[in-house]
Amino acid sequence: MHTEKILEARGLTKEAGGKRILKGLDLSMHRGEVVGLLGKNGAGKSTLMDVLLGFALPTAGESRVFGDRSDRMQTATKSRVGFVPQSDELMGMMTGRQHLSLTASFYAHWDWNLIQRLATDWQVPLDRRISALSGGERQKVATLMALGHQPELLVMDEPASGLDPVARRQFMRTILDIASDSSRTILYSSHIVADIERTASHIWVMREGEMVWKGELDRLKESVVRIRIRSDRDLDPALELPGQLTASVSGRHATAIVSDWSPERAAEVEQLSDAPIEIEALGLEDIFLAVHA
Amino acid sequence: MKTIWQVLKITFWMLPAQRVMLIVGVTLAVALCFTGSWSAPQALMLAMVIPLFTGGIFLRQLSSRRLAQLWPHGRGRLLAGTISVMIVCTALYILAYGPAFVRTPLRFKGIVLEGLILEYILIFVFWTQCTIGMFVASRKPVWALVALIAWLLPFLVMGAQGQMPQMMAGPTGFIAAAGVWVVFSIWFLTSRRIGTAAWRVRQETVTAASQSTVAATPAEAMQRWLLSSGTPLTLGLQWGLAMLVLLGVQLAVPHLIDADSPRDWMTAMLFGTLSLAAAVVGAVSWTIAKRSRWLWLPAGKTRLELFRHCERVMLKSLVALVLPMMVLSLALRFVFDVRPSLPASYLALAMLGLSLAAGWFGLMQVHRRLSLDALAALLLILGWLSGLIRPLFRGETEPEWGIALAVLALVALLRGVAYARWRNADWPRTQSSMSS
Repeated sequence: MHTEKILEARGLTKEAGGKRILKGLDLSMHRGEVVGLLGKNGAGKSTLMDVLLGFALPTAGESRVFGDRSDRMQTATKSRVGFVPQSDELMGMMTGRQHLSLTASFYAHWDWNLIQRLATDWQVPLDRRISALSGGERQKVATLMALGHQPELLVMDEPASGLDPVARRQFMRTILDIASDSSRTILYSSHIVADIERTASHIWVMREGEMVWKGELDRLKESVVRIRIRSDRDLDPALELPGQLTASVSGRHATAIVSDWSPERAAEVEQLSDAPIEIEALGLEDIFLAVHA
Repeated sequence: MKTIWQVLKITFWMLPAQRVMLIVGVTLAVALCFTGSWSAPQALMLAMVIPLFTGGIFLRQLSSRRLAQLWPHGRGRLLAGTISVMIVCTALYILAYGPAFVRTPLRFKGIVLEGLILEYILIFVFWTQCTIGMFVASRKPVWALVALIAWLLPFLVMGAQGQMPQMMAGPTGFIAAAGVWVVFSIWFLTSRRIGTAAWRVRQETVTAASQSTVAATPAEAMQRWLLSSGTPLTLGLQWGLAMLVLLGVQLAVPHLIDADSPRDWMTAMLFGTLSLAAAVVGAVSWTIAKRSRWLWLPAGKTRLELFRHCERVMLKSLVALVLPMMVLSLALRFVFDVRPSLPASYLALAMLGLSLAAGWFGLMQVHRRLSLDALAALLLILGWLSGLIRPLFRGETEPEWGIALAVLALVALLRGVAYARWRNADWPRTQSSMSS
């Protein structure tokens, strides 16, 4: 794994309309990482991407892309970045091909073979006007526009939200293909947790402008587990376990989801509950729900 | 160069209408060139009329997108593309005089060349005004008013001094236009964000409109919906206010610069401005056609009933927009003693006819048939230019009754087309084709 920092932020804060949307975030991404950004609506995901790419200015703190300050990105740095916005920013009068040709004209290198192959795989009608395309097809055109110059850093804001399951699966396969090139770095947000679970190496979980988790996906799955307690006698309804996210106690049985779990803590929990425990690994969706419970 | 080429393609070849105009314009110009006619550049203007009025709008639409901020030298290249379009078009315009110039007797060549240089400057200045004016105007309706005033001011100042051709087409005009480009370029390249065009009706506005009509009757609610939360009265007031500002500027400038205003020129400008009400009626009725889709279920009407309802709203809006124009015309006549050369009855008929035609042209847009729409738009513009603007600016006293009658015939025709289209209105298709 490369260790070059592609993107980093320190104390990143963004306020708008009297509301703190980002609350002093410290982040970094290294080359080769595929980071899935999770969070509920309004958690600040899109704002974070806007600030990281320099579209919006932070109220405090700073972010850097390839070492350049995001709001003063050099031309050479810009050509290393690809971005797929949440709402497509295409012109309805133009065709997909016209959009791609215009975008290609800004870059020294543009891989038309890749674009043609992806357009065929994804069945994108490039010669139809954007206004006549479905939402999913527009999203595909927007994604093609971000891929043609083979960016080293690809940032995508909910790129698959408008796609049907088949198209989404194809899209994710492409993301995996891109990610298999260890020189590429990808940051993308999605509400579809299964997609992130399938493709991401790292996870950032946002809640109300704060980063409640950031790290490797496997590490997250190891550290957030469900604990089942089966006791011989009634359990204390106020039972609280260390790092507890959610819990339900019903007579002699209790289940809880806890964070910061490690096998060494099993003895401590058994002692607290005075009963044997079972540990169950969780899927990312369960973890996400527990974090937001 | 690649981006400049793409901008040229977008400007001349993106839409079928652009291609048709380009092919027709260039073919006519080439044909006229072979005959050595001095009219070749006018024919070429057919190919250039869309780039002339849309260049600024495309520049805003492309540069306001977030993606444009990530494109390497994105804004600079888009601006270079837009300026290149201007240079290419103005150069071609003058070059089209080439064959006629070659055939000019040698002893006249010097004076003709001087005239061509002046004409080049004139078209350069005009192109600058249109491109930057449309860029500004496409931001918001209030900016359109600002752009219109800024567009009129040079004509007003120079016209009032009786020096328009000399100044506009001379070094003063060229230096002023180049200066405008420099200032605009510095602002364009250094400003953090270029605002998006906010003329489009957004879904949120529709929702807001529906929420604001809770206490209204169903008919009022439908009307508000169709008029983007407005009413004919508010539209009339806004338009009347805008006209007051525009006419006020036009009347005030000659006094401010203490010039003897050439009467005919000023009169023509004032009444030409008033005739813009027809364009506003067209825009309002186009919006009505576009928004009618959302009324299909809640209104509980058939397509033709809905058409009649929309038609009533359009006619009410037309009255509200044309009425201030009539009042202002009377004020100009009796308070400021501004008397157009044409009879008042003819002016009123011509403006009303054009407004009605524009109104039904807008309502027609529930469907699009490019060729027919382009032809109708062309006829409307021709009617406006030949029936109103040309006789006004030439100070003609004889009304163009033939053209007025032709416009009235066009009104009947467009109403018929609108009726036929509404009978088979296909809103989902309309929606997708209009979302651009």
